[in-house]
Amino acid sequence: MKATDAERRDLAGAALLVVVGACAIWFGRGLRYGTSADMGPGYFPAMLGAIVCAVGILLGLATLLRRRANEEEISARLNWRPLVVIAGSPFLFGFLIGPLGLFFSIVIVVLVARLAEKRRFTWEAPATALVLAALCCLLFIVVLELPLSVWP
Amino acid sequence: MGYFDNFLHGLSLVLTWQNLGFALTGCLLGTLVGVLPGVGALATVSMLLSMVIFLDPLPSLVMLSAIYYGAQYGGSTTAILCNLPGEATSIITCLDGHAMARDGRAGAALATAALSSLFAGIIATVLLAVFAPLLASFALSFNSPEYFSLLFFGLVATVAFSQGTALKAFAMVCLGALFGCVGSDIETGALRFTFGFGALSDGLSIVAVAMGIFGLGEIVSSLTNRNPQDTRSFPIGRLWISLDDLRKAAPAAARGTAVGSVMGVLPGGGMLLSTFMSYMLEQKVAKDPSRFGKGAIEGVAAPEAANNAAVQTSFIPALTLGIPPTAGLALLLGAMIMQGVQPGPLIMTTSPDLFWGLVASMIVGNIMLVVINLPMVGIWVQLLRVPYRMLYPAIVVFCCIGAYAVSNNFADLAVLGSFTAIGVLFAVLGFQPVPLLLGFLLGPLVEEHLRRALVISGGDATVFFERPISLAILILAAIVVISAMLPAIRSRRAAFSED
Repeated sequence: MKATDAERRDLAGAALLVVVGACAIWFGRGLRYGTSADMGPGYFPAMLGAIVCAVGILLGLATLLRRRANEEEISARLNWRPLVVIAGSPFLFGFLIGPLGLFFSIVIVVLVARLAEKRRFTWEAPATALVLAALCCLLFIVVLELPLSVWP
Repeated sequence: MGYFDNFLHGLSLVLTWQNLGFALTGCLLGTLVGVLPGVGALATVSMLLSMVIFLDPLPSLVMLSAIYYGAQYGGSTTAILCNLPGEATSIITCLDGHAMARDGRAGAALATAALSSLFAGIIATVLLAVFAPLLASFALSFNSPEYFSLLFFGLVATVAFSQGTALKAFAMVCLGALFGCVGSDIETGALRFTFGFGALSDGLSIVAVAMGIFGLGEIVSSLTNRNPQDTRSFPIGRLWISLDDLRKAAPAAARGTAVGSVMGVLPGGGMLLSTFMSYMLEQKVAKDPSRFGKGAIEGVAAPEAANNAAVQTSFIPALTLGIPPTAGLALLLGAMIMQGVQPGPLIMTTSPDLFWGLVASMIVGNIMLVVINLPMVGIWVQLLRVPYRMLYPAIVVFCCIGAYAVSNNFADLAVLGSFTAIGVLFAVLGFQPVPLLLGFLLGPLVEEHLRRALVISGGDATVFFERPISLAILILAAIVVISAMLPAIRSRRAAFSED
């Protein structure tokens, strides 16, 4: 029998949980565990890591044994384009804010963020970027007096 | 001093131009994000979290909580006029509210929603003022075992009430708590999972994590799942309730308030559930249940009252125990802690001004919201025409500046971007983001109280069952789990989520 999308999705989720839980245990191995009467810094994370691993295994088994009817469960579709662009924007902003200052950083981040959608370039995009940059500088520098420099 | 004196004192604190201004700003922002479907109250509160630390505690809390309950008002407007639930809690309002709008009775539905919310808001705020001090003085005797049991209750209820599979929600809570471990250990100062980055020694920034999961994460999912929405609005008609409607709506609003007030105190997202429950209750008590879904005014009054009542009463456990029932309140408590106000049973004695000011601001805010929402409803609906392609870059920029402004650190921006990706990827795999955030925010508290409780008892876990209050809380948790697993409730909820 062929695996359905929901099953493949749950198996991937289960595998991810096992990996993350195992990572937590592995990277926390240098911390002192202590005893339950006197827990060290490593006790709680190791416990959580083990639980996350166990839930992952349980979820995987439940899926393989077809014990769960979760075909109708709601989940989002994956679209790499907006994910990469939007999740990358903060990194871009972080690289730009030091050398370029607030105004140009905002202009560039807005223009790049527009790439999350497939649409033709129009003059609306740079116009939005400029207006937004001006408004943000006014709000954050003049009104809220954040310690950021506006220009390079 | 009696309650009334305290309330008047709080009112005198709120009725300054500055605090009224912040309350109004909060109400306007709340209504705005309530109306806009792509932007939620959680995202907004997390965006503003980074900015309010520059304000005093009272004005910032007045504003943040106004956003939170204001979103409930705004959400119902679009639910009724456009069949678009602006917030998850107004999904139920769509059923009968939009049916009324199709019948040309949109004005009556809007007025009913706003007035029911106002009624519920005021009653629930009075409950908050009466019960919070009682609970606080009761909680003075709480020690770490009780707090651990309460937190456990809260997280268990979050798992039980969350959408989707309970196992997945449980995994998210634990994963969130794991992220909460990052940084220096509270007792020994040992660095955990910082991987040599000095900036992580204070832990992952709450602001950045919350904005990543909800602010930017919501943008990614809106851009992915967007279908051309019909934002055509039905004519509003006369904003008036006839005497006949009032006779039907008033008892429904009262019942909704009762359901919402009780559910709001319960940990783990009682807000959404309270709207479902009050709607089912109305169907039960109605003489002719077939009217529901076809424009029954009770179907608007009861859930709208319930969600607003639940918002206000959820402040009771949040303020007096320091245990937030919802992710939104967890963020609010985060704001308080950032400003040096420790929520908990001592809040009544250490910051009475803050508590009574907040209570008074809720009454003022609810009245403001009716004024903002009813006569100006046409303006809010116009805002739906602002194209999303201009809106979302603005949110991206606000989140970036907000994350960066807290400590001018690149690491916070990296956390923001990473958690956007983490939230979206887990959502794609069918895991809900809200338990992740609650686990992240409550995890450190759980660890602290677990460790202290076990130090007191010498490592004996039975301490949680031997202390009567702790035992009572754990029994309550068991009841919640069992009742959430009852097939009747499960199937009802499944039916609702399909709508």
